[in-house]
Amino acid sequence: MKKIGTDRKCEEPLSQLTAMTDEGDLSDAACIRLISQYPGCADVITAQYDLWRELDHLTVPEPSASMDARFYKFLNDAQMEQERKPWWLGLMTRFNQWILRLHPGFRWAMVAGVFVIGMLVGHLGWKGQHVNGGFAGTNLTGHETTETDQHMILAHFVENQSASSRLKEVQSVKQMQDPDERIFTALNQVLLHDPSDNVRVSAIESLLLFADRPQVRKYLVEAIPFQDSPWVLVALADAMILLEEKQSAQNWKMLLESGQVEMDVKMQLEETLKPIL
Amino acid sequence: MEELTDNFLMKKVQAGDLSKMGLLYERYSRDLFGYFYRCTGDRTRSEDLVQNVFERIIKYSHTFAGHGEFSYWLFATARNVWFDQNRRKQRVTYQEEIDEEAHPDYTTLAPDETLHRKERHELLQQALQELSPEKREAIVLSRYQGFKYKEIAKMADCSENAIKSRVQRGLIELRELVEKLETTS
Repeated sequence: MKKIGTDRKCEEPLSQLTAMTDEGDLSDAACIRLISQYPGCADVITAQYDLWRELDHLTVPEPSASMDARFYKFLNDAQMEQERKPWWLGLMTRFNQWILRLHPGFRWAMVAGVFVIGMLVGHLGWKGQHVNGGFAGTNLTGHETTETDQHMILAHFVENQSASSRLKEVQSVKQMQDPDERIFTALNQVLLHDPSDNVRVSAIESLLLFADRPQVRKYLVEAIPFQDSPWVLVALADAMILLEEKQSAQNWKMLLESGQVEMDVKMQLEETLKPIL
Repeated sequence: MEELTDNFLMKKVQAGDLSKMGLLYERYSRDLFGYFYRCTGDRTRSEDLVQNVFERIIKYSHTFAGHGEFSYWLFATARNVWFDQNRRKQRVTYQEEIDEEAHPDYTTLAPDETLHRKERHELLQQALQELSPEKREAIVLSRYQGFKYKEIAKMADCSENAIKSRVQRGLIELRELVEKLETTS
C-alpha cells in the first residue's frame, strides 16, 4: 500500500486538489488534468480524490423526536420567563445594546446626557410634588381581568391568524382571576385543533392553573388521543403526573399501543407515566 | 419577502419575539445535528449540542450584529459550543459503536460489495473520529456544510492557509487511518 502521507514530491498537486475542493472545481476532468501534469503522483491524486468523494457516503441518522420536544419546551419556558420580566427591562437591555455599539466618545456623551436629563426630571418632579401635595390620580388598584377582556380574548382565540398572537392570548388566561366556562371551552378547542405545538402546549399550561375544576381535568384527559406532537404529548404527560390523574391511564394505554407514537417518544412517555399507568 | 430571511427573524428574536426562534430552529436544527454527528459520531451527544447552541443563541442574541449571514454566525456559535465541551472533557471521546441508522442503503448492491462498502464506510467514520478536532472540523465544515476555507478561518481565528493545510493533512491522515484500520480489522 502506497504511503501517500510521506510523499513530499506530491505536495503541490495535493495542494491544488485541496484548493479545487474549496472553489467547487473538483471533478473527474479536473482530476485527470492534474494527473496529466503530475503523472508521478497519479496514485496519490486518485486516492485523495476518491476519499473526498467517498466522504459523501457518510450519512447521518435522523435525530430523535425528543430533540424537537426538548427545544420547544425550552423555548416555551424562555418565552414565559421573558413575560414575567417587567416591560422596562427589555427596553433597558435594548438601550444598553445600542449604547455598547456606539463609539466610546459618543457613549460617554450619552451617559452624561442621560444623567443631566435625569437630574432635570427629578428636580421638576420634586417641585411638582410640592405644588400638588403629592402624585394625584395614581391608580393603585391591581390588575383584574374584566368580562369584556375575557370576551375579547375568546374572540382572538378563534380569529387570530398569527401563532404568536394566539400564544399571547392563550397565555393571558393565566392572569385571569376567575375565567368563565367559555374560556375553558375555547382553550379546549385550542388544545384539540390549533396547528401550532407552541400554542397547544401553552393551552395545557393555562388549563393546568385551573385544574381544581373537574371540567378542566376532563378536557386535559380527553385531549390525549388527539395529539400527535411529541412535545405536546410530553407536556400532557407531565400535566397528568402533576395532577396524579389516574383516569387518563386508559387513554394513554390506547395511544401508546396504537403504534402512532415514535419509539423514543413512547419510551419517554412510558417512563414519565409509570406512576399512573 | 423580508420576513423570510434569517437575519430578519434573528432581529425579531433580539427584539424579544422569541417565537421566531422556532422557525430558525426548523431551518437549521438538522444541519447542526449533521455537523455535530460528523464531529462526534454520537447521536445523543449531537442532540445535546444542538440544544446548547440554541440556548446560547437566545442568551447571547444581542451579539448578532446583523451584517453577515446568520448561518455563518450560527455555525461559529456551534463551533464554540463543541470546542467548549471538548475542553471540559479534555479530549474528544472516541465513539466505539457507530449508529446503525447512519448507514446508507446497501440493499441494492451485491452481497460481497455491500459488505465491503459497509465495512469501508464504518472504518471511514471511525477514522474521522480519530482525527484531531481541528482537522475534523475543517473537513466537516468544508465538505458537508459548504463553508469556504476563508469563512472557516474566520470562525477558527486563523489564516485561510492554515485551514487549507488542515483539510489537506486531515485527508491524508484519514486515508492512512482507514488503511490502518483495514489491516487490523
